[in-house]
Amino acid sequence: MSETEMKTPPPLPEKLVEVRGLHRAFDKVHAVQDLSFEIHRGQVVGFIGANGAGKTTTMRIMATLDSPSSGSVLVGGEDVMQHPERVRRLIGWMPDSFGTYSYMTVFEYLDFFARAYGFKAKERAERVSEVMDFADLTPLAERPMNKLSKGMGQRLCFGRMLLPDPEFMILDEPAAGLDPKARMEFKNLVRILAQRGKTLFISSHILSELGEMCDTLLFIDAGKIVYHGGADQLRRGDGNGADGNAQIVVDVAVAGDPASLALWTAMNPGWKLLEQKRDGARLALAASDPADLAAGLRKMILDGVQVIEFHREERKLEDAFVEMIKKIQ
Amino acid sequence: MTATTLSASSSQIPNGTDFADWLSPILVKELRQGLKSRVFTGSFIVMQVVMIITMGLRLLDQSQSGTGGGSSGFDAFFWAMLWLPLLLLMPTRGLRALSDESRANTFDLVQLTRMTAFRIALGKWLALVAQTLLLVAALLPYAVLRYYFGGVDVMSDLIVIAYMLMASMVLTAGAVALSAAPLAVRIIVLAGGLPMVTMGMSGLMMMRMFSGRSGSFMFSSSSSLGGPDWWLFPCMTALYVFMLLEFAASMFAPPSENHPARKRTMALLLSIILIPAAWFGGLEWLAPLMAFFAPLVGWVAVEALTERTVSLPAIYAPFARRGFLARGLGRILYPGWATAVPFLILVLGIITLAFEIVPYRTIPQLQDELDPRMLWPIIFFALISPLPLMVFFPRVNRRFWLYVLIQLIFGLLFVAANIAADSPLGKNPGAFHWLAPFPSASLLAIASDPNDASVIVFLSKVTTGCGLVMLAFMAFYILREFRVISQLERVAMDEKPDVEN
Repeated sequence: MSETEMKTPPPLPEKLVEVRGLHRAFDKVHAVQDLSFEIHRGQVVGFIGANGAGKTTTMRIMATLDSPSSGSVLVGGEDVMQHPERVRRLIGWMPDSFGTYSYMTVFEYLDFFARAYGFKAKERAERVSEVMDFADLTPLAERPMNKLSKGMGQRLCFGRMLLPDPEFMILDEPAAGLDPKARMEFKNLVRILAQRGKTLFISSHILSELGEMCDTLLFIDAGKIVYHGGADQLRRGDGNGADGNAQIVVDVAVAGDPASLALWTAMNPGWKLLEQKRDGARLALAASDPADLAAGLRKMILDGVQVIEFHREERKLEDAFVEMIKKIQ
Repeated sequence: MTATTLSASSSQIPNGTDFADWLSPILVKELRQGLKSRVFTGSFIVMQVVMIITMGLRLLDQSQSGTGGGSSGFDAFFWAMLWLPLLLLMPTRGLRALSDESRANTFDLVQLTRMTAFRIALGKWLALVAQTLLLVAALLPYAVLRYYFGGVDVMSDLIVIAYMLMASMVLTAGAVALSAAPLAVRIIVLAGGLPMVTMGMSGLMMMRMFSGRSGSFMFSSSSSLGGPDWWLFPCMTALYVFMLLEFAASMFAPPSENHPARKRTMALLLSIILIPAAWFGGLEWLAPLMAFFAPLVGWVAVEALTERTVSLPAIYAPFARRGFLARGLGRILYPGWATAVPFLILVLGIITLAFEIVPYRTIPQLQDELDPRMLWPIIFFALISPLPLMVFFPRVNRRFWLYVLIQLIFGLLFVAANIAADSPLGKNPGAFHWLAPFPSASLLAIASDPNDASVIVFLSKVTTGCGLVMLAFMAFYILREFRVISQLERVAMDEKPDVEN
């Protein structure tokens, strides 16, 4: 058994990440304010917020690349400020945009980072090969870095992050700018890593995408956490005062005065006019009980509204988020 | 997309150990990039072409005239070809070593690897030096060829090239350090300092090349390879390179790496070296060593005086856990301006001791009126004089610039006093008297030699008195910072020790 194998690191705590009262100010701008949350081992957490909400600042602090003005971040029980070198052994960081080196191929890039992470000789060759296979980079090995497409570049950055086999991966907008195929591939990679028990913290402003990938979602707005919970929970509106998770959307034809439809909507609570078209309209009825939904639809028909089509629609995460933000404001 | 694990090595990947495993990863990467870069390949090809053409012309000239002399034009060309890449091209490339990474958004990723900040800076520097060495090595055959044309001492040439190489190493390290500095610092240094250093070094080289012996300390016996300067220059090169790279590393390292302690330790060691130097070599050794060390120790001192106390117990742990003496040592090595004051007292105390060993009166340029011992306290008070004002601006982030600004204001006071002393109505040395409460201005006045012994005596005495009052005032703030440090030490002692060690 080699010396490195004999040095068994202490077991990681169940709460892999603990953020407590995190605050970061740039002069008079408070990018992050009193942020507190926890991430458990093996979780895939989505970090959502508008541009400038404080996502990247939070992630950079977690990755030991920035210092908090106050508060603390513990990764694997180690403070990112006190012992960044210990935290760095646990984390992988994928920035939203990464620069390229001139006169360097994909293989040389990964080989450099493998050296920098302390891999020697055969071990390094194996690790680079493994990562290239995993991220589908082998066909690109000899390609200069600055000749890669956006998707290829993201894959390379992803591969670099995987080199030290980190326990906790922080990915800042990893799917931004990717085409649908590359997005699917990326989701696949995340799924495989999650199956292997890795902990991932992924930021994005594409909520639907994160909803599919993540166990937990963290919403940040103006530097503050506004929601922490599951995607289904958010759609249902549990705990945040939002309405139910499903609604009936009805497309109706308007025979006479369109204003009469608006009047009908106003007179029937629960109904909402979504869209007024030239020869019709879209209405929605939000209700969590199927019986209420059926009754609402029946009343509409009995009142003489010409229904062309109706279907049950799940509330989108984006809508839930916007609704929640509105309520908070 | 495949997701296999541990597949067989692909054909591009070498198996087994390679030579590069022994080298710094940054060095390997930089060489891979650097040797393919247009700057390197371009300068290599241009140098070779120019040298071949010059050699051909020289050969033609010799075959026509049949003599071996009269090669000054060719010599100048040869040295210019060495001077350009060594003292200009490569150091200039160093100016982008770290800033380019930062700009390309790749620096974060490098920092997150297992490499320390110093290793990153060292790797960058080594790569540039390796490229410089390649350029020089490619020119060596021409240096030997010159010998066959006659009138050339190859050994002397090689020594000059070695000196140029060392100067290039220092300049490159300085450029790497600058590349980590903020843009404003880079502009100031480039506009003022670097051209002066380059010209100075080039001047020394030229003197050595064309006049054999310059008569200066450094070159007095360089050709004999046996004098005291033969080893001094490489030692100073190594020292300056180390310190400059340390300055570079400290600019981007996380606070937990505690670079202030390393820099202060080096400054202390340099001061201590002065004592045996003074003992065994007298003023002849002490003066040049002091000239070499002063910029480094001075820079470390100014940096220390502008630091904040860092509230990371991890920094205090290595000292706090090693008992009373180590904690005492921490009081001069911990980052922060409060510990910088006792650190500075210690450094200046050691330097004073070194100068006590050599007979003072043999030091030229010091006025008979002033006991030189009086100068050290004034230098100390001049260095710490911005601190009493800085405590009133605790929220200013750029403390270094605040320090510089206050010192500049003191400098302006001296200029005003100088103007008043040299008024059209006649000489008025008394105008310097009111500078006494401002040690920096007072020091400038003493150094400017106002031709009046009474002014010097007055300034030295009153400034020392004012300095002591200033120190007493600062003692309150220093003790307050020390209380914070003691708390941090207690927290550090309660923390779990590093599992790796």
